[in-house]
Amino acid sequence: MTHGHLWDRLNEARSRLEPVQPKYRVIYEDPDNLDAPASIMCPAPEWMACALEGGILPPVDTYLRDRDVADGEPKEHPYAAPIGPMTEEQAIEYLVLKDCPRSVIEYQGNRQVLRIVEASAIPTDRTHRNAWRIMQ
Amino acid sequence: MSTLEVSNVSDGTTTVGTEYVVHGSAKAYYSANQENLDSSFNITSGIDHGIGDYSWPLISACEVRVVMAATPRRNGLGFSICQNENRDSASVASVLTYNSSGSSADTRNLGSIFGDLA
Repeated sequence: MTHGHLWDRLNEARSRLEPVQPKYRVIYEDPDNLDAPASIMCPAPEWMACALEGGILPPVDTYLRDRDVADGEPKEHPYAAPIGPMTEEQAIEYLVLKDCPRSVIEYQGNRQVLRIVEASAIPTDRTHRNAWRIMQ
Repeated sequence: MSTLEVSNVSDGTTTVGTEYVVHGSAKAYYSANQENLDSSFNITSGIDHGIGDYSWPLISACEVRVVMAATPRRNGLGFSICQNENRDSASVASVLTYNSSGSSADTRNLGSIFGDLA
């Protein structure tokens, strides 16, 4: 194994990659908690830089399998061989699979529970933030 | 990249075992305004679940549920923050923030995550 631990690659990347401000946000509603407001996900600029660079992040399916691994048991994603560079759109899809709840990814109902939007689409007035829902 | 393997480090006066340095190092950190991250390390994204309710998934997970220290970032007093055990896990750090009345309230915040990596 020549690629080492994921955390070591992140440390190395931190010293040479400039953060990349993401253009997109992911909005989702959790089908298992329909009364909750919509959640808004923003990629970390440092993570986006790693995704665009390639050779750092593990395959996203390693995270999906590790969800079923109990705490304290060996996980796959820190030791998996890294993938190549992604476009920003591919990086967002990666992020959706990794960080959105499984219920959102597997939802097959009629309501739209996931939407990828430009950052400018997110309202800046948070007065009624806890009432935000995805417009159907 | 090479590795320096020693059992102790010293400043010439005080010596400490390297396990304290390795185990005491933060494995992740963030500084954020709602879901928007000003700076971070080993964090995939910021997630805003609602007023005063935020999560920070890790790129490289911890071995067990995250151990974190967090603080509000404000130019005034009265805000508090706590680790949200309803959302956090070995791969997600999560906090709730409150104002002085105990109501959920947005505030910039920052945090560090410690412990062993998976």
